[in-house]
Amino acid sequence: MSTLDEQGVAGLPDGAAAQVDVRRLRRQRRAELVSAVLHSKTFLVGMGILIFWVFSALAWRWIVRDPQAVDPSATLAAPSTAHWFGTDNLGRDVFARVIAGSAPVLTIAPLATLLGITGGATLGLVTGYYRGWIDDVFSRVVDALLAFPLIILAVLVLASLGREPRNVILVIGIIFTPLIARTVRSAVMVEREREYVAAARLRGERGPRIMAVEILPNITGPIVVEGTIRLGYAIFAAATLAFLGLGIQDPSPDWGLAIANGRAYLQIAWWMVLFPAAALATLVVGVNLVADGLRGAIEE
Amino acid sequence: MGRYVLRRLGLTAITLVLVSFAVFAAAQVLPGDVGRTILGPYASQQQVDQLNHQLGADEPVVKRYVLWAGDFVRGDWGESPIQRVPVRPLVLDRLKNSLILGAFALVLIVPFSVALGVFAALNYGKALDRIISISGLSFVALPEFVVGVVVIVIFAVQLGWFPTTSQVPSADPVDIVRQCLLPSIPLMFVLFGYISRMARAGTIEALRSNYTRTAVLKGLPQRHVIVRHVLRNSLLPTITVVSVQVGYLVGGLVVVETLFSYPGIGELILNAATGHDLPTLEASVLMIALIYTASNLVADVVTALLNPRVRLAA
Repeated sequence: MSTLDEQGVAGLPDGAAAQVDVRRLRRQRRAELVSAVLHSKTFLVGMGILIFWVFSALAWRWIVRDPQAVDPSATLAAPSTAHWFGTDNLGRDVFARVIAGSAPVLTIAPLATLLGITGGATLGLVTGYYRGWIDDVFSRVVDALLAFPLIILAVLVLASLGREPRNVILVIGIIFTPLIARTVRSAVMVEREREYVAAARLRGERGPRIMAVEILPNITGPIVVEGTIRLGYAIFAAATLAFLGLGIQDPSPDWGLAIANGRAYLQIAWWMVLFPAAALATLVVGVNLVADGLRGAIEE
Repeated sequence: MGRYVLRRLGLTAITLVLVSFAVFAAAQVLPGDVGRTILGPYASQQQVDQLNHQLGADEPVVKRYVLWAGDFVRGDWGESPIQRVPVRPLVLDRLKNSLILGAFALVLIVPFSVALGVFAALNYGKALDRIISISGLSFVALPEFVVGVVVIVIFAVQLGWFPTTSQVPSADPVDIVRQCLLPSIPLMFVLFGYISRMARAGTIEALRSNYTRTAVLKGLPQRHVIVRHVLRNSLLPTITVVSVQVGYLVGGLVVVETLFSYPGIGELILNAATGHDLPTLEASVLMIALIYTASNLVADVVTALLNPRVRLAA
């Protein structure tokens, strides 16, 4: 970085001074942003919940007993000091399964979101920057896609392709791609009219470079917010598909699956469904609080 | 106005043709052998081929699409190879059941959500506004089956006020509430979140506008300003949101009907998709697309009727 500065100073002193100013301004703005985020109660509460579940997903092996261990002498036992959340129909400890159940959903949902963000950002940059026929075709396709309850689309595809976790990730990621692309596209359309883009074009920079080096760093805010919101939807979708029997299969401790399995025992063992339901509820609400806090801080 | 409606009708027709082709392609082109699904893993390949030929599953896709679409328009929706019954009465009956449930949820939650959204906006920034906004935000995030099992455990299992599974209600209002209230609560949670958020945002925007300021400054009473100036403008976007939510509602119905074993079209779609019952799947998904596009059309026309700017721009 310093060599670049020195070259700048030697060649264009005025420009270099301006550049330093811009850099200080950017650093200052980033500090303001971090402080705004850290002062947002919504963000902090959501982040606390999220950290708890991420920690559980990573460390459940060392903090709870084996979620697959079967105890035939204690099936469908009510919550007690021995089993805090009771046991299920096979005598497995529900508390251990709830803690370990964060792992499958927190693997599938972030990977699906990442896939959607990568595809969506690329598609959004291209359609928003070039406009023209690519953009027209894209908009029609998105409209047609949205004319469709997305869960039904996922059901159609998973019923045909098979229910492996890989397919769940692919389906959610691919459905997210055009939706994320639409948000990115509208941000790109604002940025492409700015002077710095015109300047880059006059310098002779090519489209792909302008998109990746000039525009992309300036739209990270909306992309991060969109990504967090989508993560919430991805958790929602992955859990729903597991509940419908189209996602993760037995004997995974996944929450959606646990609720589907516990349905048959609702009358006699409410703890089999209520604890996984509560876990899932806290996770999705936590992610949404984080998203809301981030959006508030970035928009202000 | 006539031209606007005509143009929207044309666009709707194009969307429907595209969607019908997509539905057909999704159901037919994706792997999954119809004959094999019906006959099971122990049938010989020859038997499977023969059944596929009988069902017309070995013809080219475009030909099959044209045949299918023609039959569909004429009212011949085929026969379900799995359930061995004609598809049309099956789908229409399930659709009717779902409409009862969906309408029940919409009728209860739309006025409530709009009222709370407007109320939050009028108390912008105060504690009440925060509570309404945060709970709306959280409700949207909750998967339907999570809310569903919680209400089942509390109101059906512990308190015993409602059945744990729901049947199609008779015309008796008490029975309608008994069968429909629990399954529609998860749907209402999500709808409340979206609709109240939109009503709040629209009202805040209208409150900040110049025409509202003018109305206040010329001394109109507050009630009059809110009813005649703010609400008329703020509720327009809400109409669009409600119509978009009809599409959501169908997706939500898949989950809720499965959870409550309610014989609606969502449950039918799930079973048809997992059982490779293609005629049923195609007909029911297409009906849903039809309802969704129709509700969007109605919303656009209503918006145009209420808003001269939209009407004249077309």
